[in-house]
Amino acid sequence: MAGNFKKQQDSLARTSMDLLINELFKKHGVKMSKPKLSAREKRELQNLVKDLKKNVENLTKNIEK
Amino acid sequence: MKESRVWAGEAPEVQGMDLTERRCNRSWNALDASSSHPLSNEAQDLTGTIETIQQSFEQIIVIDSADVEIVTTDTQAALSVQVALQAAIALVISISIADSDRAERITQDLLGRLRSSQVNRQQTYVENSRGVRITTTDTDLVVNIQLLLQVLVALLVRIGIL
Repeated sequence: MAGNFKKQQDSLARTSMDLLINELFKKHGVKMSKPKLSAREKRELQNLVKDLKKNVENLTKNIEK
Repeated sequence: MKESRVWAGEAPEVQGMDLTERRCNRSWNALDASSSHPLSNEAQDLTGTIETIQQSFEQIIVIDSADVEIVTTDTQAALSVQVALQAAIALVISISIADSDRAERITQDLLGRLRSSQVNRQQTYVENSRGVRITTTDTDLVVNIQLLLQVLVALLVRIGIL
């Protein structure tokens, strides 16, 4: 039950975030294009996100307790 | 129950608080109108209070107590993660939009919408107690950080990096 609620919340957050980003790009009249990145640069970006996720998880541990 | 540990050092100095009167009268009594609350600070003016907010977001004072466990979020650490996330969002937008002026405007617009309104100031006072567990978090700040992470992930999915 609690898991279902969390899933629902996650999907709501994702949807509203997508809508916000879509609206913002439309307002500024631009489209995101896939950047030409080397495999190394991609990996660096993925590692950065992984580290940021870990940091955020550490900070949110207290709230979820 | 775990063994009690009693700290027996110098009396602590608490920034922004004058504990002299408290030391003379010992404990604060909620039912005694003449005893002033240890955290009340009438002498300090507004400017002083604002300075305190900027210097220290959190204050936990534990006096004459045993078995007190404190779990707290480091606000400074949370703020630095927030800045790192904002920088990462700006980076992703700037590499995926050729026009740098527009990229900057979009970044400003996006981060402006997601800005957390304020940093909380928390004060916790524990006196003459045993077996207390305190958990404090600046919820506003942490929620803002979660939101920024979601935006970053959404952007990276769009440009095929995640």
